[in-house]
Amino acid sequence: MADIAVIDALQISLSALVGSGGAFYLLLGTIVGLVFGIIPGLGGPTALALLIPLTFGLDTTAAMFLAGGIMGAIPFGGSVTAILLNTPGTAPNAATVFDGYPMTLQGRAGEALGAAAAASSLGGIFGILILFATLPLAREIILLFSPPEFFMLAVLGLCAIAVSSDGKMLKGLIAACFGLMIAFVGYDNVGGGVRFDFGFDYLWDGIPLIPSLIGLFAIAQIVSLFLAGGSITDNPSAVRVSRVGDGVLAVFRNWGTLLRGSAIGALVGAVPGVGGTVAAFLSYSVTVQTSKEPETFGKGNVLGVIAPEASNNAREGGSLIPTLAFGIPGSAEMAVFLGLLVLHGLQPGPSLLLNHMDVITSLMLSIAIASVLASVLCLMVARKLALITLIDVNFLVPIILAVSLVGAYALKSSMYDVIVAVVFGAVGYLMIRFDYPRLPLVIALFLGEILEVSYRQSMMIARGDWTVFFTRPLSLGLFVLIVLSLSVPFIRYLLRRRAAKRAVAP
Amino acid sequence: MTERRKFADAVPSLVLLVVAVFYCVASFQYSPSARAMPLGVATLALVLVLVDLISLGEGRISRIIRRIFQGSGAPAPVPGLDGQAGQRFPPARELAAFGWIIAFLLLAIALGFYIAIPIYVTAYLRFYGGKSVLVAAATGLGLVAALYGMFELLLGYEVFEGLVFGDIM
Repeated sequence: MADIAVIDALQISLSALVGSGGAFYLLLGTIVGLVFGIIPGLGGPTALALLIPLTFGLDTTAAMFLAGGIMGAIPFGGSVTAILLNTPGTAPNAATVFDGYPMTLQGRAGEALGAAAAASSLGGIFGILILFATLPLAREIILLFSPPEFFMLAVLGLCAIAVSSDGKMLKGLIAACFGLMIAFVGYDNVGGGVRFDFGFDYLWDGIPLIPSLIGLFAIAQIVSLFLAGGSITDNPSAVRVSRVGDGVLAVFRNWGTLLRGSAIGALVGAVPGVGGTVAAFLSYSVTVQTSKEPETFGKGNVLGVIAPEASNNAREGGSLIPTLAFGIPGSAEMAVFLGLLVLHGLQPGPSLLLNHMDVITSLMLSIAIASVLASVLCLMVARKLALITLIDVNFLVPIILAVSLVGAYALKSSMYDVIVAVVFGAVGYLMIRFDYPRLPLVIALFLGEILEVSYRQSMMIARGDWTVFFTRPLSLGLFVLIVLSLSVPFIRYLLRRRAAKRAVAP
Repeated sequence: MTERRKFADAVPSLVLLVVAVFYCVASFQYSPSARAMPLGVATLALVLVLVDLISLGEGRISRIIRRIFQGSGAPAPVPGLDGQAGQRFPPARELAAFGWIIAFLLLAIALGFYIAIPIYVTAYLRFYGGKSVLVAAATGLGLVAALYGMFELLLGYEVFEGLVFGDIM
C-alpha cells in the first residue's frame, strides 16, 4: 500500500504536470521517444544520452517529464515498424514481428497496431502500478542497509549484470573491472587526494559521466550506422491501417494474456541486466506454450502481439525498482537515466527515495501517461511514421554526431568533455566490435564510488576487520546471492553436460 | 586457425592486459588505503584477462574455460558488429568512420561549432553520402540553425567559438 509521502509527492507531480509546463515536456518526450523507437539502431539509451545535456537548463521535475515521455514511448515506437515493415525498432520488439507482420500481410495491420497500442498502454500502466506498490516497501528495506550491505549490493549488481551477458560472462566481468578502474580516476572521496590524474588537472574531478555515456551510446551508434549505410527499408508496402478498434477490443477480450505478459515484464525488468528482449520473448513463448492453438502462432495470432507488447512496456516500471531504490540500473537505458539524475544533483539510490519522492512520482506519472499518449499518437499517424525508416542513414550520421558533441560541450562549456565523448565513442565501438558488453562498464562507472566509499566506511566502522561483510545477516545474505549469481554459468554447464550424457545413454 | 589469426583475436586482450598492468603499477604511488580498492580491482582485471587469453587457445584447459564461461567448448564466433558473427567491416571503412568524427572534432576545436557543423555536414553528405551540393549545404545550414535556436536562444548556452576566434577550451 502506498504511504502518505508517496501520495503527497504524487499530488506535487500532478500539479507540476498541469501547472508548470510538465505536459509540454511530456508531449515533447513522447514524440522524441516515438521517433527514436521507430528508427532501428537508435533506441532509448541513445535518445536519453542525446537529451541529457538539453535538460541542464530545465528544473528537475520538467526533466523527469521529458525523460519519462521518452522511456514510456520508446517501446511502442519500435513496434510500429515491427508490425508494418517487419523491422523491429528496438530489440525487444523483435518478438512482435512473429505475428505482427503476418497480420499486416493478411491486411490486418490496423488490428495489429490497435492490439499493440492497447497492450502497450495497459502494460505500461501495470508496470508503474507495480512500482508504485513496491516503493514504500523499498523505502523500509533501505533503512536496514549500512555500508557493508551497500558494498555487497554494488558487487551483486555488477556480478548479476556481467553474468547476464549470455555467453560473454568473462568479457562482462572484464568490462565491469575496467569500468571500476575508470570510476576510480580523480578525487578520492574518503582520503581526499587525487588519483590517476597523470598530471592533467581536468582529471581531478574524474572522468565525466555524461560525456562518457554520450560517447558509449550515441557516438558508438554513429559509427555502426556509418558502416551499415543505406536506409532501414527500401519501400514500405502499401499497408492499410484500418479496423484498429478490433485490435483494441482483442486486448480486453484476452485480458489473461495481457496480465500475464505485464507480470512477466515487470518481474523480469526488476532483475538487473536481464532486459526487455528476454521479457518480450519469455512472454511470447509462455503464451504459445499455454495456448490451445499453438500452431496458429507465427501466422498472425493477435495474442502473439499482445503478450510481448504488454511485457515490453511493463518492464519499464519493473526496471525502475532497482534503479531508483538501490541506484543499480537494470538496463542501459536506466544507466543513462541515472546520468540525468546525477546531472540534476540527485544521488541515485536511498537518498533519492527518502528525500525526493516527488521526482520519482513525476517520472512514474510521465511513463504511465506516455505509454498511453504514444499509442494514441502512433495510431493517428502510424502510416506516416513508418516512412521515417526510408531516411538515408547518411543524413542521420552527421546530424547525430553534431547534436551529440554540442550537447557534450554544453554541460560544462568544456571542449575536453567533447574529446572525452569521442574517446568513449571509440571505446564503445571497439567493445561492440570485439564483443564486450557495454552495460557492465557503464554500470561500473556509476557504482565505482558507492563500492569504494562503502568498502572503506565498512573497514573504518569495523576497525579493519573484513569479517564485517559476513557477520551481518543482510550482508551475508547478499554475499550468498553474489556466489549464486556467479555460479549460474557453472550450473548451466553441469546441467547441459548431464542432459547430453542422458541423451547418449541407451 | 593460422598463427596470424590467433594473434589478431588476442590483440584486444593483450591491450587490456597492458592497461591493467600499467594501472596496477600506477596505483603504488598512492597510500595503502587510497590504493586498496583500485589495486584490488586492477589485479582482478589482470587475472580475468589472463583467463580470457588462455581461453583463446586450443588445449583442454582452454576448452574447459570456454565451456564454463561461454556455455560451449567451441571457439568463440568471430566477433562482428552488434555481436553478429561474421559481420565484420573492412578496417579501412572503420578507420574512415573515425576519420570523419576526428575531422569534425578538429574543425570544431579550431573554428567553433557553428562554422564546423555546416562545413562538416556539407562535406560528409557530398563526398561520402553522394548527395547534391544543394541538399548537403541545406542540411548543414538547417542543422546549425536548429542547434543555434535550441542552444543559444532557447536554453541560453554559449557554444564554443573556436581557438582561431580566441575562445578557450
